[in-house]
Amino acid sequence: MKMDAPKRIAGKTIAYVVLISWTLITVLPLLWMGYSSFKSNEELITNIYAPPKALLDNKNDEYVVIKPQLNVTPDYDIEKDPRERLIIESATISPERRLMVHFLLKEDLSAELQNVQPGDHIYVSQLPKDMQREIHWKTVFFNYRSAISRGGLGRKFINSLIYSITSTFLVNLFALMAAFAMSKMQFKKLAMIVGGVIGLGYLISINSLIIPLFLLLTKVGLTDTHIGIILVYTAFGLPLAVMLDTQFISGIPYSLVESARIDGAGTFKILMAIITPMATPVIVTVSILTALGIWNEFLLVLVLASSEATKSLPVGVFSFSSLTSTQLGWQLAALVVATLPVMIVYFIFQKRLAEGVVGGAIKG
Amino acid sequence: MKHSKMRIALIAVAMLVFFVSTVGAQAASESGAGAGKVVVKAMAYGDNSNQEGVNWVRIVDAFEKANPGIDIDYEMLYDEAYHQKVVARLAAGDVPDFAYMGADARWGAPWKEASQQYDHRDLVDWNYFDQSLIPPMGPNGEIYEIPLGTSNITTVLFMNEKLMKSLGLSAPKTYEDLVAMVPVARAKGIDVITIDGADGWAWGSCVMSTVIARISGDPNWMSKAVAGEYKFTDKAFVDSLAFLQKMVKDGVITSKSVLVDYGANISNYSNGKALFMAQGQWVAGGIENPEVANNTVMMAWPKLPGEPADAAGSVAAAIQVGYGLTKSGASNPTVRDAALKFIEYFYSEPETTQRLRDGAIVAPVLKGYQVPSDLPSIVKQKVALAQRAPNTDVIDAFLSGDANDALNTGMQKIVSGQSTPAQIAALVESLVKR
Repeated sequence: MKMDAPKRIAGKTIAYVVLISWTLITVLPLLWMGYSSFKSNEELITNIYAPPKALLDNKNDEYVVIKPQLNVTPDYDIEKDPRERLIIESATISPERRLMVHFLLKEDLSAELQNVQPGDHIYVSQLPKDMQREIHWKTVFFNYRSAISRGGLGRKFINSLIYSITSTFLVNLFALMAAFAMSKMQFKKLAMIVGGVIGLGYLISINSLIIPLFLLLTKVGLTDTHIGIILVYTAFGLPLAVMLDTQFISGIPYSLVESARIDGAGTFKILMAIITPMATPVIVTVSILTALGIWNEFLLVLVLASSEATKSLPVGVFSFSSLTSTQLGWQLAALVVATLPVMIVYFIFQKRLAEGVVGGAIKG
Repeated sequence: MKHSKMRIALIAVAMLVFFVSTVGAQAASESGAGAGKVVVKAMAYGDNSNQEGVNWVRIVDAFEKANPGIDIDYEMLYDEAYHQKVVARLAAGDVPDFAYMGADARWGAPWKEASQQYDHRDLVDWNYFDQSLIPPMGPNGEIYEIPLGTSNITTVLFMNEKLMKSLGLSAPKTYEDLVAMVPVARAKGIDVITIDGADGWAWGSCVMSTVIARISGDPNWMSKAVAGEYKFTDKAFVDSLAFLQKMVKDGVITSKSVLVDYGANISNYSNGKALFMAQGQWVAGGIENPEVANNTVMMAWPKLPGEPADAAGSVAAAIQVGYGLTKSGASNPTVRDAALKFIEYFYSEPETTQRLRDGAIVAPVLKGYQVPSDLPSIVKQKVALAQRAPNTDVIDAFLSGDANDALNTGMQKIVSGQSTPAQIAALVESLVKR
């Protein structure tokens, strides 16, 4: 039965409008985040949508010569490199806040510039070419440099990877084991009870458990440890994973299990050699849901991780915002650092992920 | 068979990754202890976007470099996140060895309730710190923490002098002078006083603390009320709450103040959107616009209606917070000595001078400290205010828990017209009695 042309055109138009709108809603914030991460804090406050200018157009920026101070942290090892430096601070980007500061080797400067005094103003264009180039790139990536160095994003990035990869692996492993037992082994009543308990776990919110969980982990010495946080993430990831896996594995014919048993395979062998390969679609689905959830998770790690050694990226992003001061530029740069890996993984495995999600949805 | 082996190998590799990553990361996080270092657990105050946090990280790095045998294992949080985590950690028995703490109802109560306050008098080197500048914090003169500086003035009016002059205005001497500025400010599209009314504590600490002392004429009205000498339903307190209503009615503060948070308040003032800002002395270092910061005058609130002459020019001030050992930290001599070493480093003269320049403190508590002559203008303003203004009680240094919360919320309700002063006064009184 064919639709007539006007209806088809109307249908297509509506579909395109909806899909294009949805794409814009999804993509525009990412684009905004990307270009805004190259804007200064001042630009972000004065006009949140304007394109970046202050950090990119910096060839003739004005700087003020300042005295060495405790809150001006050198970007070189002062013990290994005792050569004299001229310290300059931007007069336009976060002026007098000691954030955009450069340490210029005096021996590389002209005689005139070597003799400038604190309070004197100089322009980037007055400096030697290689210094101009260095300052140019440092200014362009000011937000990224600051976010990574001040927020300790490198270590937090590794922690996020550890939590996401390890917890996702454990969630998949335990969920498959539980699901296999519940759907293919001969203890239906016990499976129903276990299923009920796991389902209950899915209904309990993180917020309501966070304080008892903190007290419990403290008692067993697992707060502020990677293992403690991984175990908590694994526990919170299991209910949904077990439910999805159980539903999926139930659809796999029992005759396959029986045939494997007749061929002499043990329970673990059946799980690994028969069930796991067939459950790949649901494993992919569970992995996406779990890994993304952990990568973006904030509250648990904020409470359970005390030291910088155990905090993850979302806490790092949050740390640039407080009541007294918000470094929006740094925060956006940190967000890009946190978002980029997820986007890269998505683009690389886009086809496989789509197959996995669809496969997981329609069962085996 | 080949596939099966492959799978087993993959599982083994995955398990190995898990083991190495978790155990390795664990070892890294506990490397201090493993390397035979003295590990000192600390709770610090600040975050990566503010000077306090940035300075803390820098000082810890420098200290650990200078003292390779000591590892400062810290957790740094800011504002409510800090207060809530303190309570959670103390409840869980995860007590830091030293922490940012105070001795009053807001900053000291959790440590007191957990019996973790420790008297520092016999530990502190009094050739280093000036005992006369550190007020007693306990009933027997105990000192529970080393304040970052002398008294912490909470009721400051920051005046944008340049903006005032451009509008032909001069510093107000009375409240009526502020009212007279309203039409001038409105014509310019700006506010007379900006306040972070969305923060309940700001009404208590930065406005009401001085209003009750001024209107009652008793600088210690609040501590006496908490001790039962006055009632919160007394005329002085109800009149003080009514003064908030009057300020909104007169246009000195807008009812929309209750939507302004801490950052927006400072931003409004820094961007010339108000003639004055009501906040505490610590904000002096947070005014981001150098032109406004350099043209700011820090002053006490002008004479209020009905204020007795002897209360004139007073400011509310509390003992400043600082770092102190906990009872748990002090119980281990090795940890205690390492923590004290760090505390002395943290309060060293160069660091204290930097803190003074950053506007974080009023005046240092170091013995024989010479104030540098080249301090920024706003810091000089602060020191001058501290020297000339008599001090009165800060509300949340004495009033705590539900009563303080009800008062803070109640003041927001009064300003936004949802409650009357008498209702809030009665509610606070009932909660104090309970």
